[in-house]
Amino acid sequence: MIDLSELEHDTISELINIGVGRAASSLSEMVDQPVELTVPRITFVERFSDTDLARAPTEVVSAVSQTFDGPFKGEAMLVFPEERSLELVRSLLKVDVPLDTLTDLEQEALMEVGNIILNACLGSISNVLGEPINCSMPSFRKRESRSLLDVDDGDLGTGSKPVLMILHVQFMLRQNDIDGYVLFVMDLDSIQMLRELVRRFIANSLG
Amino acid sequence: MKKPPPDPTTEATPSFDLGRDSNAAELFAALLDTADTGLVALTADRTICHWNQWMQTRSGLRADQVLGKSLHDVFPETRLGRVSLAIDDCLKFGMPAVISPSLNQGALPLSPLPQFTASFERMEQSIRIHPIKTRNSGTLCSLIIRDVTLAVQRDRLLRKQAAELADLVTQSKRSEDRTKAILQNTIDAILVASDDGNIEPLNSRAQELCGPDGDPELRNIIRFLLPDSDHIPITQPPSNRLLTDLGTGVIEVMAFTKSGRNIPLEVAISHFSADQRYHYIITLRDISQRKRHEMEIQRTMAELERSNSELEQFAYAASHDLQEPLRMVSSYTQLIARRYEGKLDETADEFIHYAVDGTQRMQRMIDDLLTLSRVGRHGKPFHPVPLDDLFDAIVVNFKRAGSAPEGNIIREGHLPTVMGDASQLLLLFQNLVSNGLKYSDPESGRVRIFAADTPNSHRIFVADNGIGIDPQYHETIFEIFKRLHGYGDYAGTGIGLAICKKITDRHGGILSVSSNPGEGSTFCVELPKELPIVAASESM
Repeated sequence: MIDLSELEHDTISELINIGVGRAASSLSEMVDQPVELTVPRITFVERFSDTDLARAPTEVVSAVSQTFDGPFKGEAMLVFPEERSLELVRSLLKVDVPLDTLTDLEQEALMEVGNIILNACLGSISNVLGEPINCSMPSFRKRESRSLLDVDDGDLGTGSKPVLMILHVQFMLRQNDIDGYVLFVMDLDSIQMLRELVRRFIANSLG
Repeated sequence: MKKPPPDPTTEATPSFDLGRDSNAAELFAALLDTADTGLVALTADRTICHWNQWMQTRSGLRADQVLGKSLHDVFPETRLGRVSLAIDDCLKFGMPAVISPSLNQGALPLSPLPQFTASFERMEQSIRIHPIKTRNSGTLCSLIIRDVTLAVQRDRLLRKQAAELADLVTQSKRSEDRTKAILQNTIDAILVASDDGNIEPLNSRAQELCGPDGDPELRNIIRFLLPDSDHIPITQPPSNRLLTDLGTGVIEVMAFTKSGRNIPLEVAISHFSADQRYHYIITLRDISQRKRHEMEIQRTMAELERSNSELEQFAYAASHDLQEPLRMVSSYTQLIARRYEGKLDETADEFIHYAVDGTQRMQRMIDDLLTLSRVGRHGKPFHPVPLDDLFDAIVVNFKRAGSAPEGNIIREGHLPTVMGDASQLLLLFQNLVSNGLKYSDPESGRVRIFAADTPNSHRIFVADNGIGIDPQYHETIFEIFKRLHGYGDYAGTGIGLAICKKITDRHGGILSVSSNPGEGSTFCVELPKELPIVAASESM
């Protein structure tokens, strides 16, 4: 169903990598320390239960989410297990305080990090494919991973089942690497549209 | 800009018609100015097109000073960096942005409220950047700025307190670990007992003794030893478990462990109160080593006593049994002396004289030896002896014997009353006085007697103005048969000072001498005010 050709897959990877590269340099500058971001793997799955995150359904995760709307629409999320998110924020803020949950300010910092990465990914796709995308302000959620995609405002589910594009992202910071995920949750129409746009882009650049 | 309010007579509800552009603009302008957030709008070329009242107050820049200028002209530091990039993304791609205070301290140069100026140079800001799509002017960009200085201050306080708490926890953990280590590594077994009779071992040694491989009876013994535990039924432990009399204050018990060891333990009990309850700390010290030493000492003591009494027995028997044949020899030599003096030749007379003299000396020596052996064997119980009276008797004795000129025994001051065996003390001081007189010039010889107390003892001095004693002999003169002079010079058996020494010893005292040749001698008898246990029990 999601039968992307190798070239299409590589193109999407390329677009995403341009985005996260930009996000990383932006973050490095902000926190005044080297931050590297890589996307070692991009996978497409049809069900959330097929994702790595679903392997620990009761693990609490922190997520920064932005909805997007345009030729293809859906929700983009940066997701970390809660502990990783604490590690990430404290590593970026260079503080080491033994609080076991995110404070409001740390939560906002995580939101900004998510915002930068998600904007970069979406912006890169939008820019290269030449199609404007409207994004919402990021919002923060913290819940068990199994209910991560539960819709609270009832806005997303337009009948068709969502399809997930999952980017495994890796932050490389001073002392440690922190693994997280970027999820693009779209309906089937949107993902078809995305593929269509990618094909068109490939055709243009090759032709 | 202000318009007169609509005439209430001509317009019914709604009294404010938002449909009219001017009304709407007025309302929105007022709303934006009363908002407690900073609101800035930028056009596509980054020119400031709105600057609300809040921004004027906090930046110190009036709207007319900034409108129409680009943001980085007003705030040069926003030319680069996160705010600039976010505005770019917003204007170019319509991307919204969050700018958090933690990652971007004081993103815009705005002043904090007066209450924060002491700790904050700039207002801490949380900024949202939104694209605003308009029909006529393309995409605009709005900056919504919230003052979160108070939140940041609270967050700092929270972190500080959390860090302090963590430090405190670490410290108390460390101190607890130390205490635990000390407790665990103490040689003594330490237990704590609460007043409900519950006994808890506190360290591994206590665990060993009271644990499954230890002595099951030990807890009962401890309960029995604890004071005022009336309400708990207690059984008297077997008598072979309590090594010492409870009245003495030292408690020693015997533990029989499952592994078959018998361990003598000294028990110390202290107490403290906590949670309004009494707790006892019980310390058990393994005294196997000390017990072994005590046994050894006891054995050696018994051995010594036995050999000592054997010796005394021997000396007594020897001197007693020697008397019989000696008396025979002595009687017959005296008989010969009386009968044949002058009837044989001169040489014979001389020989007879030597024989008589020899037997007499022998007699005196045996007498003295008997006296010496009797000091230990036939001592009488101790009583208070007033030394003044004792010396009165000594002076009378010397006078009766006619062995000393009048007034050559001088007492200086009052003499104390001491605990002792009166007849032995008489012998002691009589010997000392007699010695003093013997080794002095018969005419000018003087013996002075005086006393001085120390906190724990009486010292009685017997000083003469005689020939004195070379310091090298000060130790040996108290040994039996020690004579420094030939028999011809000074009479005596060489036992006198040995008797004195033995009597002093029996009284728990010390006999010493200080002297130099030609300067007289001073003998000091130091008797304890409190009798040592050994001397006291021996005297009973």
